[in-house]
Amino acid sequence: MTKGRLTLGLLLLFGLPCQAEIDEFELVLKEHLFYPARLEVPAGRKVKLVIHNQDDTPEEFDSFDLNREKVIFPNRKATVYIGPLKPGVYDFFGEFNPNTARGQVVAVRQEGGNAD
Amino acid sequence: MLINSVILFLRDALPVFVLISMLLAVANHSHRQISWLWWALVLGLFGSLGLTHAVDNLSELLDGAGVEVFMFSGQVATFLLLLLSLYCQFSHRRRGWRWSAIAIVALLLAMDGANFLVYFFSYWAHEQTPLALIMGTILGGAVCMSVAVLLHILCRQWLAAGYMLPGALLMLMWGAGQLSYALNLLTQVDLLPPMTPIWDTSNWIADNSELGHLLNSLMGYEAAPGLLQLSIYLLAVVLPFSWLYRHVHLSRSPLAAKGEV
Repeated sequence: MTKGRLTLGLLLLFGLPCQAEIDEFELVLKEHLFYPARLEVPAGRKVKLVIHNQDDTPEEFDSFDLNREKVIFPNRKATVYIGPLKPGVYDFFGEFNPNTARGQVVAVRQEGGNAD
Repeated sequence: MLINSVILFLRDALPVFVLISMLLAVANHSHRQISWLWWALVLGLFGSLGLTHAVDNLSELLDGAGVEVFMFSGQVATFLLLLLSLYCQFSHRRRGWRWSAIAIVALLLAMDGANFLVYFFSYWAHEQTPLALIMGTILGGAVCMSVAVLLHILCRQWLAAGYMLPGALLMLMWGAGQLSYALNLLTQVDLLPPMTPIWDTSNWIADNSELGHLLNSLMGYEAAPGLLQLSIYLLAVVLPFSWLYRHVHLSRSPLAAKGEV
């Protein structure tokens, strides 16, 4: 409710359009590894990424390609919105365990989609 | 893990070092006591410990957008305090400058320190040998200190030569960069619409390169900024700087010298 008001306020403030349907995808972090390590999402659309941290330590989901960074606390989940993305591969990693926690978001062109 | 500790320390600590070095240049130039900095550091450290303790619950608020909204509000407050500090500096309000400097350093240290402490405590609790963390912190601290000293000397030189505006411009660019970065936080939780990059200079200076990190901390460099980010950045630099420029030139005019302005 509060977030809805905030969103409405910010959209009114900046006078920008709202997108209705958002696809949701899930990532799981377990033993400092992301599952799946390669996640396919539709190109040209904003998507919602829900990340579950099943470890007992915090982790920071980080991606320079996607321009996102968010700390996920132990045994909790976090949500980040990404895109619309051009078709391609976008790396992400866990900033606290960058050697093991690595993965890729692959934006794929949809049939009849409007991606570049 | 050593390199990771250095990078994390640089990312979270360098903006604080940059801010303190510029404020210290102003304080030293006008022979102010250094007690304001100790107050700011103590308040900031307590603030970061408190925020570290509360941040996991904060992250659950507003449908998971609690941290982003809090950090965005904090960055807006930081920028407003920066404007107040510049106003007080240029209009020679010593008390106002002191309180705004304490507030801005404490607030920034609390926000940036909390992020590093989350990493620090989780690493400390699980690693058998914290040597890499300690070494990384020392190395990162040394790099931050070197940048801060160089910046401090540069700002002192400008002030000693009678130029107040270059240092003020640098401060505004730093503050605008922090503000522009905070817009990304709202985008990632869907409180702002996605920002399409208007250019991409990743091939020249990537965001994740050493130079990219340094320029980001100094002046908010982003390889692929969105239109809203760029607009906010330019407005946050140009409008206050125009006022400061006008203030300096009016106060130097012959009419001002006679007390008629």
